Amino acid sequence: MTTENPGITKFIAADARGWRDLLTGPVTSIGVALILVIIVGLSWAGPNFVSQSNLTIIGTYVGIR
Amino acid sequence: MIVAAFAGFCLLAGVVDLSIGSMLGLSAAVCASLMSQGWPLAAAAAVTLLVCLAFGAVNAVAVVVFGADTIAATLGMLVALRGVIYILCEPIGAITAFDADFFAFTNTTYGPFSILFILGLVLIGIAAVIVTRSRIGRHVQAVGGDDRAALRAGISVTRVRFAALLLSALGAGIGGILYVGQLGSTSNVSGTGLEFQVYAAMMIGGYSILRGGVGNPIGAALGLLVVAGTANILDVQAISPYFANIIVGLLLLAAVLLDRLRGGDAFE
Repeated sequence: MTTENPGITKFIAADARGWRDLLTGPVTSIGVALILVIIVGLSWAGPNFVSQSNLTIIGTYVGIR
Repeated sequence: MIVAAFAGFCLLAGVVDLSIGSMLGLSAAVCASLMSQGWPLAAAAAVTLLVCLAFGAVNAVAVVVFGADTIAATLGMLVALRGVIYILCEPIGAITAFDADFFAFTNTTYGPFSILFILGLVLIGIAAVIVTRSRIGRHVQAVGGDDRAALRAGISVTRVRFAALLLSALGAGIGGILYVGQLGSTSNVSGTGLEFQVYAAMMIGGYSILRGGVGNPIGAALGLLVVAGTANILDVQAISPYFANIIVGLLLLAAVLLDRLRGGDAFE
């Protein structure tokens, strides 16, 4: 016979919900999209995509916006 | 990131400030105009920010005090300020205001990162902490999420929305001043379309224009990086930059559909 502590069950459920929200949230989605952009950039434009000068150009573009 | 860090408070509070593009252009035009007349940078920047805050206050009064529709009011400001910019930039359509020290500062790089990028990251970080960890941030999200419930909870909806619209104008003002420093000049088209670039990136990053209380400044920063990265791939491959608009539009559509698949309003 086993006994279940309802407090622990609630805690685990809340923890699982937090992880689910994190993994399905918009910030995660856009993070994955950014990784995809980097992969496409590297495979299509080559190492120049992450060269120092190109990163400076991207940084300057997004800096003020 | 600098404009988005401030404009995000507006979207979170449930109001849209469509005038940020013209506000940035106005800031650049006023700052450049004053600097070209011999004003020191600090004084020109201070007056410029005050001018932007004054126009931001006009937006806020129209929306908060008179209950004007936020999109209509700020769209009116967008058009009106563009006219002011054209007048300020007469007769040649541009103003030169080169300050060597300011130019050097705004074009400083640390490794691959420009000072403006680092400044943007810092502001995004501060905004993220305010939104997620502070009482002010919770109030802003509460007002955007359900203004009636926020009012019943004792939160001043008018004060929060007024402050959000002022912050949005301030962010655009700072952006305009840095724009002048970066280029040493401005023109009558500076900031044109910026509101759509910024809001599209913010929506891709999880903000919503139609319902407040949703979004995170970190998502906005990532959205901007996705848009910039996509445009940059096309630049590096010497593909017409107009394709970037198509891709950004498709990304925005995908973000909206993803939001609906997650449950949209019910999800939040």
